[in-house]
Amino acid sequence: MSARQLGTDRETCIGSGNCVQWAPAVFDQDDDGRVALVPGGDPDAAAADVERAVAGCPVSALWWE
Amino acid sequence: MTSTGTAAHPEPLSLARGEVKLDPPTHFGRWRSEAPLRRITLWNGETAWVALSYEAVRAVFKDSARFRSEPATPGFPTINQADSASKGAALLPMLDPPAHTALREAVLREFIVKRIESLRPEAARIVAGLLDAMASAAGPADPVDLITALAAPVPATFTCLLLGVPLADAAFFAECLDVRFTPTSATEAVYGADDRLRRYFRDLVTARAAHPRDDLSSRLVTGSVLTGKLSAEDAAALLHVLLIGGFDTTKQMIALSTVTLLGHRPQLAELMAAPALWRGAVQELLRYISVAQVERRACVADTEVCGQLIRAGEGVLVLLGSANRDPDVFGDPDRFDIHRRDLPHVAFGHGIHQCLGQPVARMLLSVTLPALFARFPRLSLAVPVEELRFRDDRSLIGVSELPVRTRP
Repeated sequence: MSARQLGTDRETCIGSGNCVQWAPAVFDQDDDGRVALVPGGDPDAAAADVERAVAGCPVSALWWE
Repeated sequence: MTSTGTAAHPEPLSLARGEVKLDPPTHFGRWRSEAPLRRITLWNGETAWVALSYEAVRAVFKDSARFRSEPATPGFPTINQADSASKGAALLPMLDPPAHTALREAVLREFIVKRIESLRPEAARIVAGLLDAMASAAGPADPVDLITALAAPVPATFTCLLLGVPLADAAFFAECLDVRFTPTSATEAVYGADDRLRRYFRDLVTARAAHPRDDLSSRLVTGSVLTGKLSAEDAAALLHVLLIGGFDTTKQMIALSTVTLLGHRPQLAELMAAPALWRGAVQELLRYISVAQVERRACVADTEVCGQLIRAGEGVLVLLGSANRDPDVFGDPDRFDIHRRDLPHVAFGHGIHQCLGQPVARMLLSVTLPALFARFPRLSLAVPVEELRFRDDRSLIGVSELPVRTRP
């Protein structure tokens, strides 16, 4: 079991939708287009996707550590 | 002549491609292996930097405070005459915060992934109609131009649908954008084309303010202009850039994706057998093709990037296609591989200016390509790939025609 915490920063988020494209099981967008987490989404079950979503965020609004 | 970045008269920047037309210019790879950034000479004799490595490209894009997008910034580089002539247009990609932030915010909701994905049936209907026309127009052995038949009308039709303008206006858009992006277009012609589009969108804003409909343009007007958040001029410029952003880029992605997949038939067969693979395949097509080759920035404060000092007042051309073939990030980078699990590509840019319409591009590609190959399983190029005429003198690469046969 991973102890890594998934963090998002809505203030920095520009709503590119990148994370939703790379890891749709974990990331979503709210009505304003900003990052939201899929309820019950398990980052460990999609670890490779989540790592790419975090690395690909254009404004570093995501972290998983 | 030395080949280092500090030469007094650095090499001119050429965008000309080598024998493998889908690969970025071969000298980009050589340059990148020497240094992540280097100085080059521009078309007008000025010098600028090119950012070549994945790390350097991301670093410049990310630091939007020091690397500015406004063409009026001292040292801002241009890649040809038409590019230079359009410096005055205050469009979204050419703005810095806070103006950029307010404009992007005004249409952000329109490009939420789920919202764009909900338009998939509309896109599928557009594509099916075009494929029907292709099937009935062509005799078994007649070549068809895939650009005219499919690659151009898919994004053109979808963009008109999204903006809520008559489909018949697509020809006018195409004509203006062609003048605007032809490298040798005279300054007055570029001004003229920009001006016609500006007037078109100003009229559209006025019309939607008077009679709102259920479309993006109307929502922008009622949500931002009538509430005083944006001027009518800003709204018109925003609609203008949404047109530019999606028109030629997606057209060339559909065309060059077709070329790429026909050149990798075992992977195409895999995709047709397992449609879930298309999502990764579209990402790999975006990386491999990288239609947008060059972005421009001007440095406003001395900054070190990957160990290289860039001074205030110096221009940087960001080479996205080079970053997307960086061997330090992408294993065997020149190989097309739909199963790739490397870091994300930078085909849509990076930082605050990253492509706003990327969900549209991905959706249109993932609708169009499977439908094309399902309808014409024996689709082939009507000319050898080496004979395709590549427009490699523009920041947006592509072919002006793509003759294919729907049956052998």
